[in-house]
Amino acid sequence: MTIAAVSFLWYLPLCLLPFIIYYLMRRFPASVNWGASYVLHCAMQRLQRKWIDEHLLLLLIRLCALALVIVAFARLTLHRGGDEQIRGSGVRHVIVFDASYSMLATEGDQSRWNQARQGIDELLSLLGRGETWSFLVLEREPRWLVENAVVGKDAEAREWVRSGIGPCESPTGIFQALRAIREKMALSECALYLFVDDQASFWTDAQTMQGGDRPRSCHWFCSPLAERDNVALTMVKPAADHVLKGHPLRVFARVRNESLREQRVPVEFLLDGKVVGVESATLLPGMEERVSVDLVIPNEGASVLGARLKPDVLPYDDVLYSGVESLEKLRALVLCGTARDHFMSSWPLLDILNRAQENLEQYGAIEFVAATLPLTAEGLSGFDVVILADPVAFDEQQATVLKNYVEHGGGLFVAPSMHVDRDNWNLRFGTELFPARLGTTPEWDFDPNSSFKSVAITGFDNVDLAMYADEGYGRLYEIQFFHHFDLEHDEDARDGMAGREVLLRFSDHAPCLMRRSVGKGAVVLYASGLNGFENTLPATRAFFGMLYNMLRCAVQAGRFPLTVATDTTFSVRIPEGDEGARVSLLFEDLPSRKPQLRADSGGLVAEVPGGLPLSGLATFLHATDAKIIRNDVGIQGARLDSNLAPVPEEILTPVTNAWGITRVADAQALRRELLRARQGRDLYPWAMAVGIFLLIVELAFQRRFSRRVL
Amino acid sequence: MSDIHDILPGATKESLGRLEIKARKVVGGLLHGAHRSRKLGVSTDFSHHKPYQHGDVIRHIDWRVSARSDSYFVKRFREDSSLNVHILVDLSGSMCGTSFTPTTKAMHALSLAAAMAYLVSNQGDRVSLGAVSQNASTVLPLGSSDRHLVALLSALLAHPVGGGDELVRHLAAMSGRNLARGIVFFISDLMFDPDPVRKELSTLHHQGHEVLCAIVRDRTEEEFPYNQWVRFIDGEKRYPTVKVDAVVLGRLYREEYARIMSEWRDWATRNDIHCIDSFSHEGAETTLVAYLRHRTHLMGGRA
Repeated sequence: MTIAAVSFLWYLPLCLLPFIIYYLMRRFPASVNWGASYVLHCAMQRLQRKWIDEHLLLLLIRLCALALVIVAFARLTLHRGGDEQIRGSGVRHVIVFDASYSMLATEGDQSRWNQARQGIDELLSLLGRGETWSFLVLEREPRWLVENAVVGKDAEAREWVRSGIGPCESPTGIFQALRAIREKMALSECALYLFVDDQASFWTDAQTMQGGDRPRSCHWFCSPLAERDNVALTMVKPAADHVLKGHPLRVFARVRNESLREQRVPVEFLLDGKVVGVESATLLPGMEERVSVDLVIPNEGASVLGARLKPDVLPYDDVLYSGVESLEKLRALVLCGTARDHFMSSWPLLDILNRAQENLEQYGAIEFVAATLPLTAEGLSGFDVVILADPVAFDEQQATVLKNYVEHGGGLFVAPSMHVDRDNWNLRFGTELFPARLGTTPEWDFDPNSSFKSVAITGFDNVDLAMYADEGYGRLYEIQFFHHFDLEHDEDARDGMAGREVLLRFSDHAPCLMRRSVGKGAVVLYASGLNGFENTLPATRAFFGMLYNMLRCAVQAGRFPLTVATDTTFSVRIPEGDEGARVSLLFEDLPSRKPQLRADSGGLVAEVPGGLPLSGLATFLHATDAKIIRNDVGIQGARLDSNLAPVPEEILTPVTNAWGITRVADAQALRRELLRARQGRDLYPWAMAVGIFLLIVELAFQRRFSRRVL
Repeated sequence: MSDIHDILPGATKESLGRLEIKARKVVGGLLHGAHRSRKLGVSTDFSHHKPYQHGDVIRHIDWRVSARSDSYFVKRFREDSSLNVHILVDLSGSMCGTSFTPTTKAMHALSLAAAMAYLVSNQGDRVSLGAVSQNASTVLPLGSSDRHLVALLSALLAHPVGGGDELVRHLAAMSGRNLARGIVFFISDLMFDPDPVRKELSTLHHQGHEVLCAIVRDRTEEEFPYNQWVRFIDGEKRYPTVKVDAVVLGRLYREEYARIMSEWRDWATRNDIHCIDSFSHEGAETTLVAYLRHRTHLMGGRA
């Protein structure tokens, strides 16, 4: 590390300090009425012109010494390459900087990032006046931060380089970098300076460098990295973003071993910064594993869930956060049919629920309210989820009310009983609301050797239902379906399967439970009813948990998601009545962003269109005159840069030989190499030596002067 | 300064009460006194024999000596005379220069003159005063009475301080009047061209006067304690105002100051003139008492 920089030249006016001090003191002297003026006069006669000359000479020596010391700290160089190299000769200096997270890998006290920054400073300090340079930063896409800046004219360009780059998830490799350069200029005009690491993923397309033109020179700055055993957290997510207070919640974390040896990785789970559990996983090289803990959130409101690993060579991927919001109660509206029939779904369901109130309490307060058609928007507004089971048919107005309810963030759980008008439901909801159309009902097979359909017990990818992969939560494979609808994919759906997912499958892989996001809400479609005449689910131990989690699947992420991926648009729906609210999004490591307000069909939406580039934690603030609502949002990157495996030599060597790449390991080596290449010489040792020599001369002269004259 | 007690306090009188100043040389006072005179006359101090001439007093014939020879010899005696002390005070502008001590050189010079005047008149000898500045000169004739002392002190207090030096003119006038031999007590800071003054003082010395030179020195002027640029204003307006880096000039100034004082001392030694270094931050009686003791020691214990 060095404090030297060309910017020290701005201190050159300090050389005038001796003169300024001299004249200031001369300008404001003390004044005395002196009695011994005769002696003074005699003394002054000896201080004649020669003294003044020598005094000025001393001042000049001080000035020169100071100037040389400043020049020494500025580390100027003398180029012998003639005017061509000093003024520029059509050579464009192109600096390519890899802004990926992998550059944060730390060796000792220094990260590769900081060392590369020092190398860039050295490089820029060596460019002569009039030379042209450009700066290409490799982020998600290559981005020209500086284009054809001229040394001496575009002083602010260096400031852009200092302030304009930050680490991010970057899939960009050498191929994209070269393509970006070739789009702007001929490579043969360039002197290329690569400030990139030796990550294998970056150099994957290195063979493409061998074809076509090649740069005039190429320097590769890559500081060594001895330790490359990196383990990355790739995901942390609760089973539900919005949970009931006191309800058990399972939190999942994914961890990936990016090193070349087996590792046992302890993962610490955090709730609001406090460690609530530790789970370990043993990972083979390249293996990714999921670990989980169960916890209870005791308080209502926003909380932060986190997972972390022990710090390793790449600290950035050792921690991840996710937001979670606990609710006081979940309000469910059970939409019943007009006829109280035990072969309907809703009435038996309500009977079961009423008898099992005590059993339900352990899952938190779910408030079931029964209602019948007709529905109104006001009547639905206080409920988190609507259970739709029995009404035989809907008219268009009722269907519209339900659609608006879902689009505005409501949840809809559909469990069609055998009595519903399938065609009516498909007409009203099939395309616009349901994740699938209600298909035919399979004929009952009375063959005693055949069995009823059951649920597949594998493939619980969905975190809401993943707990049922464990038999301890209930034997799902024992559930038998006497009646169900085939859930048919809507061939007319314009968006295909987008926004739809299968949560649960039958043992024959036909979908059993599907979910679809609609607007801000979600619809969960169960292939059967919720009464014991159509399947045995209500009779199993898993019923209440399943029911709750299926309802949870229907309750979409509320007003906004609490876990988002980087670089995705982040939007928040402003509640009705809060249109005048002030909203802001605060980040840990970035300046806060002001979301843009826009209107959509669901009301007012605050949106951060650029996405969130950094993994970490963001806080969404929503303030009105009466209240301030704070929600923490976990931002989780794809961990594109966690694998620090070096590029194999068999890929690198041909390219290095073909392009004549000079590889340097630190800023000093880069400086030496560039000086050698540019036939330059460091002036600063000479300037420092002459400056110190002049100071010694000044001191000696001062003493001699004092002895002789005084 | 408004009172003669300020320049001649009781403590000074007490210090000087039992001291005397004796002339080192023969003096020519008008009155009979305690100091050796070059005149021959009635006294017990034998001088020499001389052959008897007609008209000599017969009772002065030394019969013993005359008996051993063929002629008569008469005894001659050296006459004792009173001492005349001429005090000359330099009250030019340089004497009131800025000092870090509460007493200026002028005040100190007045105290010194008053102390000497008191000492002389106290032992019954006569003292005169000459106070010189550019625009005024005060001259008081010889006298020895208490009234004369009071008049002298009052004249000293009334004399204005400032302006250039007129010492040469005054000294020339003194030597021109061919005064009776006595002591010339010259009080000055010597901040002037030394040659004319030395010339006149030498003249007085050769006229038979004993010249005592009291050099009033100021510690501030001597040490030159400045470390910055200073604008020096000359109190006598002889030299232009000087603005100079005191750090650079300091050692040179001090060397020049020492040289000037050394030259004066060398000149005084060559001419058998006593120089008294009198510092303005010390009391006048202290300086004078120390000098008188030294003088007594030099004269072999003869007070």
